[in-house]
Amino acid sequence: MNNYIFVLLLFFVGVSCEKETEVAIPHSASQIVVSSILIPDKEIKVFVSQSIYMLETEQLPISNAEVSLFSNNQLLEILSLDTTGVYQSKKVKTQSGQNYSIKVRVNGFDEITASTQVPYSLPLDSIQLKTFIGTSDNGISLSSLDLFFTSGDKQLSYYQYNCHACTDSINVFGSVCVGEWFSYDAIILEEGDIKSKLFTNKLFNSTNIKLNLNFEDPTGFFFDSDTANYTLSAQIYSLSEDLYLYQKSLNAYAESTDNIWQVNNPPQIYSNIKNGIGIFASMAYSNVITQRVLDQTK
Amino acid sequence: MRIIIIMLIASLYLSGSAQTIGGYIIDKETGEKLIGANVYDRISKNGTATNAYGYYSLYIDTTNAILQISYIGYATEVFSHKLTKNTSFQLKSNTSIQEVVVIGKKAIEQRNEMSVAEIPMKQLKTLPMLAGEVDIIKAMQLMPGIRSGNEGQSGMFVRGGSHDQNLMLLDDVPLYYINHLGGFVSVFNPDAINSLKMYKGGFPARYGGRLASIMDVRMKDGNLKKRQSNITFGMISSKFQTEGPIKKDTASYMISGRRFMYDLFSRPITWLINDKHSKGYTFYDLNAKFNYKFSDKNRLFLSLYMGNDNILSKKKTKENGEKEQMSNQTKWGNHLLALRWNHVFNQRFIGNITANYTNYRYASEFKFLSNYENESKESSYLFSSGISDFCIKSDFELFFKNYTIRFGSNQVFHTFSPNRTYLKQEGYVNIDQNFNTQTYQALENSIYLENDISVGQYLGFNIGVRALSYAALQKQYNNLEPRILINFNIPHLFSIKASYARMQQYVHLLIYSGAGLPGDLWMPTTKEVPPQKSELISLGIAKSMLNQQLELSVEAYYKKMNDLIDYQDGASLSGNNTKNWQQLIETGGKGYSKGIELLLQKKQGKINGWLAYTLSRSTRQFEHINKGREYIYTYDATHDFSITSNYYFKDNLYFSASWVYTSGRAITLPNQQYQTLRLMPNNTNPNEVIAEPEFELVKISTYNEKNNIRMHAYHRLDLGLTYIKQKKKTERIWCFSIYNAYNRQNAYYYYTTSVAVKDENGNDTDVSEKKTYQRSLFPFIPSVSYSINF
Repeated sequence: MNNYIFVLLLFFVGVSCEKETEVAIPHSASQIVVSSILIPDKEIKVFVSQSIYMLETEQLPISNAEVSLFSNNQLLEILSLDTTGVYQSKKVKTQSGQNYSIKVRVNGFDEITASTQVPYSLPLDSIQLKTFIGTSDNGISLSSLDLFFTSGDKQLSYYQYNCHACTDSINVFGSVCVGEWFSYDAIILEEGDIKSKLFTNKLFNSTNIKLNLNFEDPTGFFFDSDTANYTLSAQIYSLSEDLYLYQKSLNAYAESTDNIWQVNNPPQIYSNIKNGIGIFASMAYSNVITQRVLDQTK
Repeated sequence: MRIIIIMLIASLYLSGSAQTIGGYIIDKETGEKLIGANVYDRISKNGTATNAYGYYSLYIDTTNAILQISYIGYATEVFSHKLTKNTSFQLKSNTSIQEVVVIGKKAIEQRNEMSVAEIPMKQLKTLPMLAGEVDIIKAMQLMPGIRSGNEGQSGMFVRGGSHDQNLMLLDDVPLYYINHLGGFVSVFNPDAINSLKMYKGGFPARYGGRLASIMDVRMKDGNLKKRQSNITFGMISSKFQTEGPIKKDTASYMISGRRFMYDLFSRPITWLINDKHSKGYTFYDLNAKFNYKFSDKNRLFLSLYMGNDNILSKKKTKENGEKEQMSNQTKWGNHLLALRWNHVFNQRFIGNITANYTNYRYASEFKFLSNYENESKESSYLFSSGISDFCIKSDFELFFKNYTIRFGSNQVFHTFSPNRTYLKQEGYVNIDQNFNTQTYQALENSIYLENDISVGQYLGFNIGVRALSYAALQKQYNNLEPRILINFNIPHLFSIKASYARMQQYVHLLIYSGAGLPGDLWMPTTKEVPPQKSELISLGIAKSMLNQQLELSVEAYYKKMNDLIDYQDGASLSGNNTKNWQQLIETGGKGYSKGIELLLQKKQGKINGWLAYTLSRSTRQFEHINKGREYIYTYDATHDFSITSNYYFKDNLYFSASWVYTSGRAITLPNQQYQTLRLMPNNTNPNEVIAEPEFELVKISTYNEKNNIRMHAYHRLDLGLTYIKQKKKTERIWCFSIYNAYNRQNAYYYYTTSVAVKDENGNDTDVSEKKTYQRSLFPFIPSVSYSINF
């Protein structure tokens, strides 16, 4: 398909022309943008800014906002502005299971509110690696990684996996790392994209989850795959529902800006900010397994 | 229903002492049936027109009649002798349509139809060409209520409907994809076409299956008298056509083909300059029709259409004794086969039974072959998708005095194949298998009853009903589609026409990327995705003037559509994720469309042509798109105006021009931007540090309203000049044309980007500003084509 579009484009571009044009891009009221993602045991940071007209270039953060942090309707702290333009808590650190909400007041705008419940982190029970399961389109040997973990409950929960594999640093070129992972696992295909890192537990009857991932073996790029090793880290992030929807919309947005031909309805970024835009959400990630994996074919 | 039965009985009674004659109106030189020819009896003052098969049936008072038969582009004939019951007539063709013929009594005021767009083929062939090609879709887009999509698309948008809501029938068989060359030309080769007619509303019950329009295109049957051929050399394609009798007046054939020639040059040139890497694109069409007349009452017709577009890329390398060959091919096209049996039971009753097959297929294939030291390895990847229909269709017509009953049925077995992927690989891992194969099957049945009734000279009705059933994926839908059209003719003034039609559509189009690209996928109605529905009300007046030389119609319409589908915000058919297609779309959408159309048409004479204007508004509403708010449909056109004219200097020299003006398309451009946090993928080396989640600030562009901007208005002037030179045995035709004569840069798309501000010397500074640009496709394009008829 892309080939078709490319050839047609070549044909069209051959006869096409381009010029600057006057388009009356409509003005609409500027909105307050609030961005904050809470992580257990970390301070709370809130970015506050303002949306600007499309043809403007300079974007200034808002330094006169009053940002109040609440938990279960109790005021915990009024966040203070640090030197980087971020409103930050000094006393409070995020705790799993807690409800947090913020109120942001900026002169000339309606009061902005948002809330989130911080999820619990989930331990990865084990991982299992299989090497040389096939060959990728690039001719690189494929490996497969199974992640086993236990979902916290049978309610709908939201996750993102995060894996990375790097070879040992053995020469001046350093390591070769692989960040592109893909999966034909049903829970990933449910998201509609084999490279989506987001998923839910809705296809599982029990709380035991097995996730199968594939990746190009990093030793296949430069090193002799019979002798080289690599280290692999795998993480499961537990996401609040809002963060899941937000990340999903960001993925769709990135996809659409990469390819203008493939989108009919341009995506809007998900927001849970009342009277504004942005995100106030949370995630937990405490369990990380990092292990050195020796090539099992040797 | 009771009224209909009473009228039927009354008609039968009245016709007991009457004489009814029936037969075909035929081109004298070719034997081709003339569709829509007028037959008028000067004694009884009754008139009728031939149907879609060229057949007429007329009630006369006595056994004597003076029949006046007329058809645009043909000399009017008057027959005044004693008639037999089965009477066919022959008309002689004029070489041009500049000679005015007297048209019979069946004026626009008396036709029980409305919202019809019709261009006689003789007039269509005189229109300005696009790079040497007359395109019937582009010609239809000059009619009111029918707008084109983007520049360079054949997509048609009729009365606020989407382009998949048009049913394109070629000899009664649907074609699912009608574009070549990205929409530059359509699959309909005008050399092979006998007639075309499009219904935008007031749909007779015999038609159904789409919401917006029905386009009925009929292929030529083939010359029954003598062999005729022509060859055309054009800048887009070269064509040939040949037709003639297999057995004179009994059996004939028509074969027509055309081919895009670009690849014949591009492939060897790219092979030479790209180090044995050739690239090319081509398309072809092949139309064929055979007919055999067993007797005056039985005829058999076989229609065939094959068309394909093909993009091919091939590369060969040879290094250190290792040979490699890589090829990449993408092709798509339709195949159509129809076998029709036409039977005349008697002069008042005819029937047609058609068995047909239609198929649309898109395939993309990659092959890699390597050979080293006599060891060969092959890898190949094939992705294909498509739709195919098997259909049995029957249509019957029963003629009475001032009353025609049409009834029939249609059984369609759809097979939807949105995804078949085949992978073959020899190497580390040997693979040879199909995967991701999806096939859905559906059965769509319909029966219809249509009553065309004229009460005296002043009142007419077309009342009908279509009953439908559809079953697929363990879900069944049953529906009724009532249709009614009332025609009230105020003598010497005009006629007032009103119609109501309910339509259903059981096939859905998932658009890959913009309207009308070949990767678009047809999908079935399912439990989760119900059929699209519409209700259309039209009200209009029609008047013929200057002895029927001029026809004027003004119509207003209101259409409501339900259960429309569209992609969710940001969703697309990327890769092969067709399995989850139902999760990518929004269902339950509503559409509203209203407008006023004006058409002033002169179909013949030294100056002929038409003027069309549409004022309209079309919107959509989905629960989860645009925050549930109603928004302007992207192909909404507030104003759509066109003027088309031909001028005959002589019989063999004529000039044509058409000018179109359409309000710009509604598009979505971001109007605000902001920065927000994004959870980044972990890129730290696990050898060195344990990863923690990281965030970055990303820039987001957003919009206040879907389709918040209108592109600049589209307008274009096309000019054409045709010169015909008669030789002893041949006819030579030169056609010169200019597309976009004043080089209007119509926008294809807009984009906004940052550019550096220039200083006084014209050099870039560090300061940037945002500007909006447009890209246009087709500038001033002159062209010429040369045809030889022999």
